Amino acid sequence: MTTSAQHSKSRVSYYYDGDFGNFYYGQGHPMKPHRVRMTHSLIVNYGLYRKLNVMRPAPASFNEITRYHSDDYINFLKNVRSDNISSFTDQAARFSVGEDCPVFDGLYEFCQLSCGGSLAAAANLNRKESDIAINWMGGLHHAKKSEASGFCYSNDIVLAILELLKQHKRVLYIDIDVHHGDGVEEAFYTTDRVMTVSFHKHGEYFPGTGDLRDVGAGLGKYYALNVPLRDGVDDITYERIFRAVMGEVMARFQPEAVVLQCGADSLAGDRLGVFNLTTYGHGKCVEYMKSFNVPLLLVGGGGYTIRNVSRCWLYETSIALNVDVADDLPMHDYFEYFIPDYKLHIKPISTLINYNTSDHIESTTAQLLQNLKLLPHVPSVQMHPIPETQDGIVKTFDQGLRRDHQNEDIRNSQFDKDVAVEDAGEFYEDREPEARNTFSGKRQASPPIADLPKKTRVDGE
Amino acid sequence: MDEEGSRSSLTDEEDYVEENDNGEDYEATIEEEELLDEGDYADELKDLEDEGEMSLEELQRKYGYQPAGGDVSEQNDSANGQNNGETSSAPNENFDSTILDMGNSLSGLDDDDDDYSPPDPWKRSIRVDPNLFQASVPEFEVSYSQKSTPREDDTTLWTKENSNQPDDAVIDKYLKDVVELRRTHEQPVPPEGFETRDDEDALCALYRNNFDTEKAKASFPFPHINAPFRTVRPDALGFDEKEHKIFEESIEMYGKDFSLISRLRLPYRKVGELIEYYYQWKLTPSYRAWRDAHPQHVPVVQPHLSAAWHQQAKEQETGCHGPTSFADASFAEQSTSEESSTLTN
Repeated sequence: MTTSAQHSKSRVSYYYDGDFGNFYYGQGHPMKPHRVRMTHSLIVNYGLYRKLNVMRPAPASFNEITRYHSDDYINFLKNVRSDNISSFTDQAARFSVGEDCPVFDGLYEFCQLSCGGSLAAAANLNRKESDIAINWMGGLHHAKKSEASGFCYSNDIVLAILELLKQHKRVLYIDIDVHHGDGVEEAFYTTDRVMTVSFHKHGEYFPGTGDLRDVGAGLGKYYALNVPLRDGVDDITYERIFRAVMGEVMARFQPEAVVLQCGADSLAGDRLGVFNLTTYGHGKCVEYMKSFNVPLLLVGGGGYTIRNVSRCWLYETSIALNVDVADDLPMHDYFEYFIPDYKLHIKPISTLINYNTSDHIESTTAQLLQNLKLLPHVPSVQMHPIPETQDGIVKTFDQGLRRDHQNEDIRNSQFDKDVAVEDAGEFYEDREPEARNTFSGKRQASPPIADLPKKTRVDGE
Repeated sequence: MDEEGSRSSLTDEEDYVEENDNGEDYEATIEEEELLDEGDYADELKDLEDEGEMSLEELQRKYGYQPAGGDVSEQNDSANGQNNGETSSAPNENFDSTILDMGNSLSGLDDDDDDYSPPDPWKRSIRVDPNLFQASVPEFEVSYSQKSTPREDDTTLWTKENSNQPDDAVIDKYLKDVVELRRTHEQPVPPEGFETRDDEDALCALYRNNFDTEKAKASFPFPHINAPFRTVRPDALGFDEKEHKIFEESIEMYGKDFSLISRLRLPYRKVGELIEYYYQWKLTPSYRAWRDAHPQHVPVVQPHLSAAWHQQAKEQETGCHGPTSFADASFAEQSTSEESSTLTN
């Protein structure tokens, strides 16, 4: 058996549970677990199935899920049902369960399966049984420690990374969902053992975090990287910035394992997304990260035009396997969904304007590379335990580091941001055009590109 | 500026978190907050007005409020002595301060600039508090034993990495034989020309018989190794005509509220069975006929869904998806007042 992925086909493990497609968020809700079943059907009918190691993961246990999430939140998810939610109203509000994240039948089991898949995949990588592990049931990157958000209840990614950290000194998380990977970034905001990099639409968009200036805090300062983009990103633009940033991240951070969240709502024509990527452009990210031959965990994520989601994840499964797949879709259970062309790949929407000008991409990239320079070259190997109490962590925050960077022209630290709350006032004023000069003046070094109201941006270009 | 004073002292505590947000006193809280901010920002009356009209939920959202979990540390008590009076009367004010305080504690600067965040429905910050928000990072284990991976219940269904694994031609031949087996046992078979497509159950049987095709075939009939069994009863039969009719009627009546349909109309069906059937039905001409007969279908009854939900569903049904539809601001604004009143009352 080969031990190296180099010059050989990757060993790919794939995690799927046949129950997953039978969960339903509710009438009109854009998140449809059924898309994972569609992906699976394509995997089987494209003949990729036999090239994979296929596992049905055990559902994550309460103890596994609460390695990150709080007990009372998970207990709530376990006990709440659509027919008893009226007796849980206080908790539902506290845990943000209700609207975007409705209570649906089998909610807790759904979380268990999603998390079980990612945990099993991570453990598989820890045991070095494969080079790439895939869980399209996972990738629910918005879930917080004690809060549901953006259709996500339990954060399988955080759990998987925690598992990977047992055997990998540094883990890199990359997020190509159209939405910012806020849950994962938050979970690892203060550690230097996990670097999070998120490419996302920013500015008047959910979840509102992911500013270029948010770089992490404490020991984790500069270990969070945010790549804010505007509407209409196309394949070429995306690949350009992705390669520039990720190449440097790989060189600087030298992760021992990589988790790539493949949210498919960054594809053209997504019901909620605003980007213009094709399946090729989206897959390029997988291809590029695979080329580093570092253990790779692929998880799903957003994606609300479900036939495109299954196209994308099928294609990315084939990339992981290094197998060519025909553009003509094979006959399969959900073939009729792919009317009218029955093709695997999608085309960009020609009428969609790419608001990411070369200038914007260049200045964003330059800023990000600048941030990366501030990263110590290969961080210290041993772990830095996060102090148990908040008192502890505050003491460990590196005041010296903060001071050192006070005068640099990169005004991007969390500290600067925290201090400069008056800027937040200007975010609001900025919505009135006459106030914008003050705003830009304050942040010369870092133009507030991503925060400008859309209206203004259109005027300006 | 008494309030201002107590606010400042609050900012010196790293992690004051109100433990019992019992939901009382919302109105008083909002007023109090207005008073506070009026002192600081006489020129931002408009914002204050907006804020005064906001519901609790919006206020919480705006301030990045995170409710306290069970793991609130106790060191607040001593540090918080002087604020206890205010604390009890204005719990939410304290929540907000707590969040803003975090920034201060981290920055080590005082809070002159730091106690008011104006309404912006989008802008959010990552919150820092190891107890409430961050994951506790495990130690790096130098030797990682199989034992430390408590995932033994993961079921392997097929594996590529096996020295016994036959080549594709052998597998294809085996799969063709299985199709014949299925045919003689009147099981569903793939259409002509697709006999060699991957058959999960057959491949699993092959794997479990150590890639011995004869042994695998002898184990026929194969169990459905990755069929739903949690969401669907193992002995569930297909839908008959009568059930199908009830199903269509129910969809018309209640929309895709499968929990409700299961409760009211098809009580012996698990919700998952209805969902599975729904996705199968969508592929049939009978669905297309139904859909054509019900253009722009809006279900008659959706008892547990809020008005805001209905509205969003309607917007989505009509294909309106702006750049911000994920958690549309207007949607949030319209819904929260309503929602919070139903939640808190």
